[in-house]
Amino acid sequence: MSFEQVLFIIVSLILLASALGAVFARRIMHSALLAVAAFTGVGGIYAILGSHFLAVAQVLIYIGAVAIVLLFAVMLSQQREISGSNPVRKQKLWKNWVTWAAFGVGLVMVLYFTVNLATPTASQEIPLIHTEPATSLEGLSELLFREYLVPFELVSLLLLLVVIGAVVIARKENDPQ
Amino acid sequence: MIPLSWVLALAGLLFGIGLLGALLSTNAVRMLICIELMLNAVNINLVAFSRYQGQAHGEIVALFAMAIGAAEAAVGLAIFVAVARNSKVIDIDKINLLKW
Repeated sequence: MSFEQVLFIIVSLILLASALGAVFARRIMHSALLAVAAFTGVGGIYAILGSHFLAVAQVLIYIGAVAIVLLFAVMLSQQREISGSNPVRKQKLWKNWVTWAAFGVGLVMVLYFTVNLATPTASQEIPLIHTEPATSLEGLSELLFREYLVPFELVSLLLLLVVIGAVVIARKENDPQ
Repeated sequence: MIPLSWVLALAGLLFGIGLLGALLSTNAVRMLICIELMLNAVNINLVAFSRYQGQAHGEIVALFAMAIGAAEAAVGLAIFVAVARNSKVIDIDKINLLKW
């Protein structure tokens, strides 16, 4: 195994562990912080795959913006539960067998197909990802500002609308001004 | 050189964890966190296929997905803050004002 593969496995394990922690942590604050760790792990995966621009964007958007918004929402919306009651339903959790059965079936299917894909047959070899950064930043920006220019502008419009909408929704209703 | 199937397995597991959390949790903020995890899993898949093919189209789509995920988080959390101000708790089993 090469160095990149070892690094990929380590980062994947950290990522999956913190994602599980975010789902099952008792306090919502710990859940938010573990989700931030999982976002960091996803950024590491992008960097390992050689997509450096997306790794930087992940750090800026998810760890910078989404994490702060999550922490603010936890702070503003959990006045009662801040002192330790458990938001995950405790008794029903293990009895919710439909969810768990669907999860198990999905897990088995994912692992089956990926193992199938990873086993070389006579006609084809294992698909590999070359991790040296092939798509340069220049090519990426050419594509973004030529071919995807209209979606890019639409996304900026969407972000403007979202900022205004979020302020309007979260504002106090009987604010004097 | 990383096998494509490893990345696909990672993304599938991450999506499964996110889906499990979104279905099991009753706290709205935690549900939104799990939806963000699922979006991240999809982005990993897009980047993996994009890198496998050597073209940047998938990375562009992942970039758009990131921006829209951030927008969704902002609006969703604003709604939860407004709901928490009115009903003091954001248990999604108890938010049933729109239920017919």
